[in-house]
Amino acid sequence: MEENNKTEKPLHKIRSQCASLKTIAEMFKTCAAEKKPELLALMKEAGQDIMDCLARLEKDLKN
Amino acid sequence: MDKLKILVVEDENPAQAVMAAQLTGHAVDFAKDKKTAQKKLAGGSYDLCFLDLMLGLDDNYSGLKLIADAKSKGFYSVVMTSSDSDDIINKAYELGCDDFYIKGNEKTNISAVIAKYLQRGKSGNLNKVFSEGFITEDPATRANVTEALKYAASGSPILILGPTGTGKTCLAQVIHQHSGRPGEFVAMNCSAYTEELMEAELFGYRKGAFTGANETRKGRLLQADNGTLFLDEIGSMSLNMQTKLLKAIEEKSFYPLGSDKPEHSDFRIISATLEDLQALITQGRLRLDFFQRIHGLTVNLKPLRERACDIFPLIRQFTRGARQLSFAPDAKTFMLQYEWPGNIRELKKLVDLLVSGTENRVTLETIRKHLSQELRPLPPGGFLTDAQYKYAVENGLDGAEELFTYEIIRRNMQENNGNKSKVMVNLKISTNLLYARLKKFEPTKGGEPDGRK
Repeated sequence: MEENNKTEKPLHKIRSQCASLKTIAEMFKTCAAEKKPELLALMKEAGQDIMDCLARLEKDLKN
Repeated sequence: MDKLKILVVEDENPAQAVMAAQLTGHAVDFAKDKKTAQKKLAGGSYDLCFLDLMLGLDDNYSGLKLIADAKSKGFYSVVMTSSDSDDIINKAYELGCDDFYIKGNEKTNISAVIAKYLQRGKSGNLNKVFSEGFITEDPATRANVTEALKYAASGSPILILGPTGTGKTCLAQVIHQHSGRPGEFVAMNCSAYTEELMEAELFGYRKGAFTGANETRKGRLLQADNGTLFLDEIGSMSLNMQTKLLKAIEEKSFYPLGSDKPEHSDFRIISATLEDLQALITQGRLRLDFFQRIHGLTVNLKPLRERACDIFPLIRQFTRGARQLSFAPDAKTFMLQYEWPGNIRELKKLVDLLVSGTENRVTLETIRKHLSQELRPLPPGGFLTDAQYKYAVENGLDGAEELFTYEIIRRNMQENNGNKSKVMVNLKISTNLLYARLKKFEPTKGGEPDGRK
């Protein structure tokens, strides 16, 4: 199964966070003003997670 | 829709927020890791469990392992993942998950999952729908309702046609209950509102938007967010309102009265009418584009006289928990052959009267007595002739009404040899009305009647 593949888990995580990022971005467009900071924080969290996974992939590539 | 108890096993905060937003209206519990999830699954009671495949970057597909925990408690388990690998999907199903979806389109996916769950648990047993939700034993009506329920989860508009009192609102509610939409069922009878009131009611308003708007009020469109907006007697909606509602349906957004800030609402439209909508289009009373927006699937409900087999099951439903009624055989026969012009509403009213009465056995005489007090609606078009209708359209309703009363007066005068006193008594009219009509329509010397065009 895919778990044998070293890159599969970070890629899986990236896809998952991208999906959330996209949906929250859609929610952000139409949500109430007072809800926007909370959604922005969640998008930043998803973005950071993606960056961490990319860093891990990069590190794995170098090794 | 029923409020479901749902467990979401998801380690990522953004994904949890997405799930929370999509599951608004349900009782949702969250678990971030396998241990917490197992504890909640063992000790809790859930209708549905959404299981993320991987809980953390170094997790070893905990979602798959949790399927067994959910299954052992009989919970409906749904695996959600960002992987579209066939191996993973096959493995999840092998382990007994009930449903599976790939992350990225939560709104559609979650609605479909919930609709499938409800379909399995409820309309999977259609007998329950027909014995508790929409009572019918009529095969054709059952087929129509079954067809409508297939579209319940689709979000497509549904148009329910049928005479008054045939259960259009009840069917709309049943469709909503099987839609998987977590929002409210919001019903509105279009004929009960003037155009201005309807606009305020549908779109809502801000404080001070108009005289009497003492507070900001949420409109029905917003109230029906993620739910169903049921518009009864849609044919009575003005052209102007149709235009405004069409825009709101297409854009899923609208401006409350007095507000410059748009509101967004994802509502599903179910509409109903007893009128011939094609005729309304021809007469210019219904916009074609609006009609096209509301008539995705059309369901026809038959009048009660055409499904007499439903009369006694409906009575059993109406008397559930109340005094049971016993009918004399001739009373039963009469009820099965009766026309029921007011349909189920008329039957319900009769049953309410009978239940509150003291008779142990309902006789034919009692039934006749109660039903004879009902006002009989005129058959559609039965009183109005084409000529009368054409005249009213060409000359206005007031002109048509004047001519109509004049012709009745003239006929009654002929039958009474011109005796005006008798006519006034027969027709229960005043002297003023009699002379006003005669003056207007009686031929003047050497000319046409001055009132008739």
